[in-house]
Amino acid sequence: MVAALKTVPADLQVDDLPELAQLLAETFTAT
Amino acid sequence: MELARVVAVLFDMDGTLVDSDAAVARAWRTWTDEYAVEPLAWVSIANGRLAADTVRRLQPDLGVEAVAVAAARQLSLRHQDLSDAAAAPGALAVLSLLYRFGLPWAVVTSADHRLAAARLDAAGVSPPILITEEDVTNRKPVPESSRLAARRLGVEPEHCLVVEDAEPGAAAGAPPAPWWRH
Repeated sequence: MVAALKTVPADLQVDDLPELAQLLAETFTAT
Repeated sequence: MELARVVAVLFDMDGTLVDSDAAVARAWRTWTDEYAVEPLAWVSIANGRLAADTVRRLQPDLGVEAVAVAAARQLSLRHQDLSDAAAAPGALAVLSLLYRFGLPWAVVTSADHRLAAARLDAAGVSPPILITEEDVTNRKPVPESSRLAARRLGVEPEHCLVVEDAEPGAAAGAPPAPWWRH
């Protein structure tokens, strides 16, 4: 189970893939 | 952090795109029984490390050959048990978005190719690029694997988003890219 994810860049804080999906959707839909 | 400037995404496999926790735990449970090691001793050290590295930490008195044998046994147990590897929650949704937005992606794992291919297949994940331990000389946290993935995707590594569940893997995404330093 994905409990917490670490990313590079490290200042992008996501706890799991659904949260990453939401961020990607918000970011790239707007661009 | 300007997520909009990301041009590709590099995913770790186990614990990130693929939920293989149960299979990993079963393999270590069997191994610790066989080697008379405290059953949960592996939990805090195995994630993101090679089996041999974990074996050395669990059995510091073993010689080089004995470590190799013990690590091979651990890997054999993993290869034998693929029964419940599955896509992690949200994994397929994220990958679908990447296709929608035209963002290339790759899987960068410290697992060997045979195990990675089997687990990804079981999870229904087909990466355009798969980097495994056989592809590099220096494993995570050395950034060789992430740089190789970026090169094969045709993008600059400093513009990749690296997604990991383990510290060694996250460190492999370093050095930091100029565009998010400030």
